[in-house]
Amino acid sequence: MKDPLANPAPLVKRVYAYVAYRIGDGPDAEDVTSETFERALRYRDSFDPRRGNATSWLIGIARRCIADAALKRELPTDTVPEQLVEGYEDRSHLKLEVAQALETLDERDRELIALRYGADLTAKQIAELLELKTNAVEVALHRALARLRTTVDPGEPRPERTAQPVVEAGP
Amino acid sequence: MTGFLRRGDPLERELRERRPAPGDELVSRIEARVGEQRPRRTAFRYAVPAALTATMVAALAAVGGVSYAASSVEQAATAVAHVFAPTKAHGTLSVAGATAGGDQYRPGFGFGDRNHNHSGPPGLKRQGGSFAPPLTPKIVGTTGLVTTAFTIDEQAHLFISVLDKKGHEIVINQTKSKIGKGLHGRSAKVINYLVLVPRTIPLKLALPARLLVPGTRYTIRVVARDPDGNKSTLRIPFDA
Repeated sequence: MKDPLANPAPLVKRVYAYVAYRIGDGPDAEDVTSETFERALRYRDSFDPRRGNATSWLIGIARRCIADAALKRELPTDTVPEQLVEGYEDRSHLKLEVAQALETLDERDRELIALRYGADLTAKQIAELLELKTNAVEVALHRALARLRTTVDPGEPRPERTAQPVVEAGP
Repeated sequence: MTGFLRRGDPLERELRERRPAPGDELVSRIEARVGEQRPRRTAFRYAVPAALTATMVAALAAVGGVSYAASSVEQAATAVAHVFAPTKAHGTLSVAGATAGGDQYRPGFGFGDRNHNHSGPPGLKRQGGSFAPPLTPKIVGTTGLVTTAFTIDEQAHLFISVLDKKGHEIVINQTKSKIGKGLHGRSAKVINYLVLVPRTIPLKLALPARLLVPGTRYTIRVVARDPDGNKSTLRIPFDA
């Protein structure tokens, strides 16, 4: 039987990225990732490669862990303290901005983004996991990205944190 | 806003390249934990047909199968043929009240007795009604226990199995399972149970926890075939 956990390091990274996109980067994501692998160890023998690869299998477990964690306690939704934004390097700032933008998405969109860009699953794998058609997943992803873009708009210059007063030109 | 949204499809690239990464400590800890537990070999094997038949015949004899067959030879023979012939999964036959003073010996309780049967297929209802929410198994060690009850309104031969989401039968540990009273015997994919007294029957099925994938829906399938050959099916969902 193929061992789904034969090479755990890349799997940990993908599961963590998925979880962090769902609930935010940090200790909670680490806890959920750990719990996911604990359960995976418990159910290791039940892995069936004909039903999907190890990543899909682990993400299925991670989804359940997130749901269970949410039932036990309120998972954080606003994980980015306001003051952290000040003085950050440009790329870090973009990262924060994407994280903030993700928080504005509804649960379904965020789930899709996390599966696609966190866990790096294909649309087909996501479709199998969510029991949807591949086409439906592609369309939903496209829309989720479009909604994300409206929050992280490429064309707009980034607004100042303190708005400058608008002064009308004189006659 | 700088940089990442000015190239081709930068938002997607940014989402991929800037995906959150776990700390090295977490990766090392999980790697060590995984390394501690080597995978167990799944040594489950199906019994060869000859051994299977011998086991079933022994089980049937042990519960007084010959006696109950005598009360209605023709129907019982048909029912037993249904147990052994068509099914690929192996199971043993349990008979309600299978003791020396059991129901099958009481006048009027032979399989096919008119007082305990009606025309048409058997009526089957689950505990809580058909709209009751899915059950949740209780995990005890390496076993997942699913507990419910169902009501049957006439004598019938029951075929009880648990299906995964693709409709495949999964193994039931009979020793820890109960249909009314406790069951005995090796693990089976289908449990055969002969109901002589129509009633509400408590059901507890023991399943290997390793086969229950969290977040997945499973179904307990109860197929009832009455002495006239009418059949009905009850499905009880549960979520692992």
